[in-house]
Amino acid sequence: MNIYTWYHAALRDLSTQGHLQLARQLKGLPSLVATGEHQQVDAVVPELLAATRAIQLPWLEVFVTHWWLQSRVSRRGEGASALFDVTNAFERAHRAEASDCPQSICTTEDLTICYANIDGPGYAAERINVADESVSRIDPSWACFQCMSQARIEALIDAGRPDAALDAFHHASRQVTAYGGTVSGYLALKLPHALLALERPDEALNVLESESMARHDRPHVELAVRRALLIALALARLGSHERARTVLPPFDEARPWVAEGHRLWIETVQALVTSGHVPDEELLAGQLDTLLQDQIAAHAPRRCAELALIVGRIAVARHARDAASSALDTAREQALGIRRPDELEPALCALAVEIDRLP
Amino acid sequence: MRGGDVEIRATDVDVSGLLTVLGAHLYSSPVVALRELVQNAHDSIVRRRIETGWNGGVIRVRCPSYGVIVIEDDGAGLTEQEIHSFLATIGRGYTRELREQTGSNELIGLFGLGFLSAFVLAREVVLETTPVSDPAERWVYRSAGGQRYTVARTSAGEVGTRVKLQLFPHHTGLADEPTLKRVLTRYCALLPMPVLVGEAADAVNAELPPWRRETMNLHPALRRRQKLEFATRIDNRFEPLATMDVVATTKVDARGMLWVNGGGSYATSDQRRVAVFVRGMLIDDDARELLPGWAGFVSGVIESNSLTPTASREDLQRDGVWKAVREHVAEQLITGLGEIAATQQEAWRRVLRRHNEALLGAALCDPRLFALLADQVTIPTTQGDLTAAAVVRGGGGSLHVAIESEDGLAATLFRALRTPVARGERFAVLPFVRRYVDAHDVRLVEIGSGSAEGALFQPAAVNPDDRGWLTGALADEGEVLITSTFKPADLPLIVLPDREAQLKQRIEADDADGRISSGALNLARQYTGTIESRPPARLHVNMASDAILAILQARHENPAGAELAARVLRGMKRMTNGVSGDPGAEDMILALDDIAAAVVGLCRSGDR
Repeated sequence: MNIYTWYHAALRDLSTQGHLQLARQLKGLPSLVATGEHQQVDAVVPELLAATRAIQLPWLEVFVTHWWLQSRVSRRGEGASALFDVTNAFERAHRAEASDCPQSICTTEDLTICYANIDGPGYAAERINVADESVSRIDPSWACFQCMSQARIEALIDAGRPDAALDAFHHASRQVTAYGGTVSGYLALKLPHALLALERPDEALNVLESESMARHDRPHVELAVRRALLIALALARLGSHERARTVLPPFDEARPWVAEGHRLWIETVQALVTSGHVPDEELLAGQLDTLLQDQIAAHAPRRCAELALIVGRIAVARHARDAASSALDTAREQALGIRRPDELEPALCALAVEIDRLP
Repeated sequence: MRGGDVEIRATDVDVSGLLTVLGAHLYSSPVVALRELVQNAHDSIVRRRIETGWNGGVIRVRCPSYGVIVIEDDGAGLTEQEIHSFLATIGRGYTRELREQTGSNELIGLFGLGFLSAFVLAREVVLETTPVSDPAERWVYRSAGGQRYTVARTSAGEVGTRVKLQLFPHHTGLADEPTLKRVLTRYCALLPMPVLVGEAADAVNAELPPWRRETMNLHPALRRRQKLEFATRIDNRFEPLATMDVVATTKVDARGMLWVNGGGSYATSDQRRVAVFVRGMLIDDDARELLPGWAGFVSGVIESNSLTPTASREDLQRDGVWKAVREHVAEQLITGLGEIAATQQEAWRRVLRRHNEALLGAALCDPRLFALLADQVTIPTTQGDLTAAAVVRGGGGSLHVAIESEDGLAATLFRALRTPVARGERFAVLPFVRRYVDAHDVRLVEIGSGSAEGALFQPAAVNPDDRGWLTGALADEGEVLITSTFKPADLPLIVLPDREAQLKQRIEADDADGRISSGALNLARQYTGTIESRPPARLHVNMASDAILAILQARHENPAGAELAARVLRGMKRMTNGVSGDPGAEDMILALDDIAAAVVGLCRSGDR
């Protein structure tokens, strides 16, 4: 069953049964997630869960839980701190009373994203396996086909197989189109993502600046920010630093998107600092520190360690020894939480050497 | 034109089709089309002021006969050539060109589409105009449908323009002066030149908005009243409770007013409505997105000359200026709420009363709001609505919150202790109290999570023999017995679920393989594999309870009596907590069986 058909029918039913407030809140939940209003998500979810349980609507309970977890793992990038809730939601969604809910499969997506946050490359093989298994169980007309295809592309990139990620994107797009569907803005952004991973920033930029990509910007504020972040990174990789600086979303706009936004923002900033395009380095240092604190709070050790390494290199470029050492400490500490801590050892050592060389 | 093998050709435009599309779809309502014509009149007056240094200007809208509206202005008028060049050329507006030449910020028009709106409303449009550049001329433009038109010279008249609309039958309702007055009062509220309806001597927009008035000498209470009256005039859905100023800065020119709506709100109710005026003309009646999502209880009026309308001029382009204005409005709203709290105590109390839930959510979205509201909003508790400080006082210095409503056993326990417990399942309560304890250095007891147990139960030693007996007599399968002391001492035992252990059990159960696909299940088991294997519930037996102490003593002196008494306790446990902390229908049967057996046993022991 199409998720949206079910969802709209369920809201209509609730309204006709007199649960107007509940229907209204359920309707607003996905947009709170997509606009980054996470505090409001945290505020409303307990009440929605209590209500859906009280009137015994397990399918809507799955819906609420999924969007809560989308806010936490997909947007705020939570890792280990969300594992209990993600696993619990996954198990509840597979009980008899909820397993036919069209959104049940989305809890599998939440589970894979959570592991991607904890250690993307470390769990890449398992994530690819889960995505393959899920995609094979549904037809491309389902919205979750596109979500699981995104999860698959991300896992392939994390596995160091960007070629396969690019193929996976084209395969998924063809299938969606063949079933009469439209490729969503979220899936469409995986193409430039894969192209950047393949070190083809010129092609990524062409895609990102195309009209077909720009049309997703509104009403999806989130997609507009993500696209701008990717454009800035592509420009930075192409050496167009001045344009990259202009396009790069301001810190406050990038900050809510912990899972993906922080990495894109920090990588672009690294190129801008190296090329002398950041006018206020003191301000930047504070911003980078804030982002690292967000990452630590998200309990996502792999991403946090990798970003701390970049922040350390930025500090080295600024000859800021204390900041570089502090970032290195963070990276070392976080590396202990990943599946194979030794994987990051060469990068940790390299940063330590660079810090030692500072005057 | 050809360039090598490439042929460049011009696109053909079907004017009739274009007019139909624009006429039918450009504007969402006929009222907007009327606004465009008033705006043309305004721009014509501004043009005359710019070009001649004149400082007059009046717009009058009348309904001289059935189904007819006339819009008159004493602006610059048009020459015959200007009629052909601007009035009859879609997409080319004199206003835009004049703005580009002079840099004037007063001119409103931009797209050269405004005059088209006449054909949205009218089956015939007659425009008479005398240009200020040649007052001896007067031209009459006449068109039905807009595609073809005639221009003829007529006898000279006053400088200015008169547009006569013979309305389509379905729009004739608009040709009614009270209706026009109502509509134009709203649309032209901030237009800086008089707009009159019918033969009235007073302009519908005579009253300046509060932020344009000189009010320094007015008593603050009178100023507040003027602002409240203005708010009611703009949005009469609710009685406004208090207003806040939006003041322009050197970076953002947006100014105006916000106000707290008087209608009660609940949690995520969205009563936001913001009227946005650009160069004095109402563009967007419902620009709610300019307010933060948490401000569902706020409305306002904003004027800015930097915002750019879309082509239909009913919406605003979401560009950098729009973002800056949105940020500016949010900042001033936060400041404004603080000022109301500090200076208008009665109004502030009403704001808190009407919008408590919404403010609870708002407090989570900005640290300044949290600081303002933390001790003022109330949270729902087992003892009614209380401030967080009162919940802490009632909890003996700790703030108790139940994570889920189903934690009935904990609620029972705390009711017995007369301790208020915040209801974590209600809107915003859980994140609010978490933030509150962080800010106030208070201990948080989250009932329903394992972490609360350390705060509630103190381990109590007991000899292994007694522990074994208690386990046999009181524990069900899936429960591990823990001897503790806890309050109230009258409560002999309580079962708490171990959610992690429960999850591990379900994910690692054999039947999970049958209902969950293997790859995902394996990933889920990566997590449950890190959880220690243990029973899914903890049975805390209260060693401070006289009942428990008496049973332990009786098991040596009166073993049969101890067994019966233990069955009563086990029955009570099963009735209130279920087996393994997960009450079900069968638990009630088991509980009744225990209690009945104990009663029978006690009665028979009396016989003996």
